[in-house]
Amino acid sequence: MSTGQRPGRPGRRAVLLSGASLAAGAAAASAGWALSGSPAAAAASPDPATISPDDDLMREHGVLKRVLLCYQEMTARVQAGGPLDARDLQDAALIIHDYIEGFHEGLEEGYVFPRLISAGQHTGTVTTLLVQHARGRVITQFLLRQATASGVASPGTRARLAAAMQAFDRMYQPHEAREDTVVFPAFRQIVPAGELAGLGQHFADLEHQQFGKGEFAAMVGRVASIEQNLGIYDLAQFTPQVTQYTPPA
Amino acid sequence: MARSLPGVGTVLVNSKGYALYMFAPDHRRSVTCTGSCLGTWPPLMLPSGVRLAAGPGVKPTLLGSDPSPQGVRVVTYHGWPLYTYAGDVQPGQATGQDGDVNGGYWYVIRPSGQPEIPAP
Repeated sequence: MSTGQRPGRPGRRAVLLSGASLAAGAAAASAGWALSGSPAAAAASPDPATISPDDDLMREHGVLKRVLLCYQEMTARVQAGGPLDARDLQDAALIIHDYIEGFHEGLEEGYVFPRLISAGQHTGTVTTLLVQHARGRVITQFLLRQATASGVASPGTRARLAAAMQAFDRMYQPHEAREDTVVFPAFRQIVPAGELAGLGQHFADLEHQQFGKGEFAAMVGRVASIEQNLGIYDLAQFTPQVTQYTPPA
Repeated sequence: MARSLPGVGTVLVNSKGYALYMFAPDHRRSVTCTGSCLGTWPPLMLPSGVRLAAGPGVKPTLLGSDPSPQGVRVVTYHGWPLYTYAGDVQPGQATGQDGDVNGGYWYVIRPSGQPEIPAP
C-alpha cells in the first residue's frame, strides 16, 4: 500500500483503496524496460495470447468510457436534485485515479507519445493530450477530496462535484476518441511489427506487476458494480424505443 | 539550477527550465517510481561518465545520485531522487505540484532541499 500520503494529512487513500488496487511503485519494482530498456528481449518470446499495445490501450479506454457514463448519470442526478452516493463517486474516481491516471496514461506518456514526437507526427495533438492528462488528474484529486458523506450533503459541494464530473467527461470524450482514431493508428504505423509484439507483452507484464493477475476483469467488475448501483448496468435500457424508421425525404 | 516559477516560487529546475519534483514514497532513500510511473514522471538521469554540476542557486553539497531499479543513476537533491512531469509541456510550469498520483504525492523542491508541501 502507498506510503506516499501527504505528511500531516489523514491516510485517505489507505482508507479508500480496496485490496484490488495497489499503489504504483510498490509492486512494479522489477519493471526494467521503461526509460532505458529495449523491446527486443521481450519481443523474443511474447505470449501469443497477448494483445497489441494499441488494442490494450483501447481496451482500457473502454473502462474509462464506462466510468464516464457513471459520471454522466451522477451529474444528471445532482442536476435533477436527486441523491448522490459518495461511495459510488469515490469508487468511480478511484478507478480513474489508479487504473487510468496511475497506469494507462503512464503507458501513453512513456511509450506512445514520445514515438510520435520523435517522428514529428501529431505533435500539437500530443501536447494537448498531455495537458489534458494533467488537468484530469487535478479534477480527480478534487473529486476524491470532496466526495464525502458531508460533501454530497452540501448543495454547494454537490454542484461543484457535478461541474467537475461534467468537465472531466466533456474533456475525455474527445480525448480518447482522438487517441483511438489518430494517435494509436499513427503509433502502430511508426513502430515495427516485432517491436509492437514485444511492447504488448511488456504492457501486460507491467499491468500484472502493478495490479496482479486478472486486473482488467477486476476493473470491469468494479465499474459494473457502480453501474448496478446507479441502475445503468442493463445495456438494453439504452436501446431507443423505435418501432418504425422513416428516412428523411 | 533554481528558478522562480509562477505559483510555487523559487524551486529546482533542470537545465532546460522544467520543474523538478520529489516523490514522497521515495523517503529520501531510493527511486520507487517504476513501471508506468516512469512515463508520467521521467527521472532526471545522470548519464554514465558525466559529473554532476550545480547550476545557479543550487547547493552543490546537496547534490548526489542514486541507482534506479532500471540500472541507471538518478540525480538526487538532499537525498530526494528528482523527476520531471509529463504534464509540464513548457519550461517554467509546475502543474504536477501537490499531485496525488502513481502511489503518492509529488512536490517541487526548494534550493534548501525542502519539498514545498502546502499547508493542510
